[in-house]
Amino acid sequence: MINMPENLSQLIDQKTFAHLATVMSDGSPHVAPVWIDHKDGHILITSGKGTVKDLNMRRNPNVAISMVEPENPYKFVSVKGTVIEVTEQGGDDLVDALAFKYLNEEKYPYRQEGDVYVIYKIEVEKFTGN
Amino acid sequence: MPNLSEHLTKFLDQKTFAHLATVMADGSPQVSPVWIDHADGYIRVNSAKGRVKDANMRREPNVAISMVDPDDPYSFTSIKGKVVEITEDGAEAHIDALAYKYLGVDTYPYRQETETRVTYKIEVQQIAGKNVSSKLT
Repeated sequence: MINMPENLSQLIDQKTFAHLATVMSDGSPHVAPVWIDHKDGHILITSGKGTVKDLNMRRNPNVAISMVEPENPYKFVSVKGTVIEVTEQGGDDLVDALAFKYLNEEKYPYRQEGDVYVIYKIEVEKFTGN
Repeated sequence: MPNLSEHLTKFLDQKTFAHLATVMADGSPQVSPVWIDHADGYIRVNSAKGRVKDANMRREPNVAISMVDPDDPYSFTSIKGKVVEITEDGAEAHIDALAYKYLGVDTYPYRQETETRVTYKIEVQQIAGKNVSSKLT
């Protein structure tokens, strides 16, 4: 297990929106807000199979994440990392856990038939913040 | 002059933090929070010469921006755009205007003597995002 900087895990433990940057096939960047979690020193995010970010992370595992603290937007972190695991195992449970964290709902309410939720495990490689 | 959609200007006119993604020389992404405004149909951000994002935008003008509505965290927008102008002209006044918008002060308080402020004008090429109940995952 890797140790995650404490100010990063503290931020992730709040209802903080993470802005996940990935790279498109043409080399241009893409960034979108996502829910975020951490486990055993890694960042965990989830997305639906076939989304832009899913395709991007499978093609190019280099990602970056930017977050500002919900109560104090002048506290921020910017992370560079690598997706080290992409799995569907546990994807449904993680999206429900995140719905509980962010929406206080037992089940992710926006699930659509046919959606497959994927977990991306991200190793933090570089961390800046205040 | 390009038109920015109402959906977008609503974000830009508030004290919304924008998360600006650029691409590093090695092809990996970089993203960090920035202040943001708009003029004449273009998004504007401000940085200082020599910073990582400055170097990235000079090398690779394709950028992306993600924002969450400060008053409604389930409303968000995700933009793809292109830096069409990089200028030091007016960049000092621009950072003061942003400090006024975000901090309510007349002069940007974190100015460093050695830095040269730069304004990046960004043309919006694609907008995604909804007022959720859409999906954040």
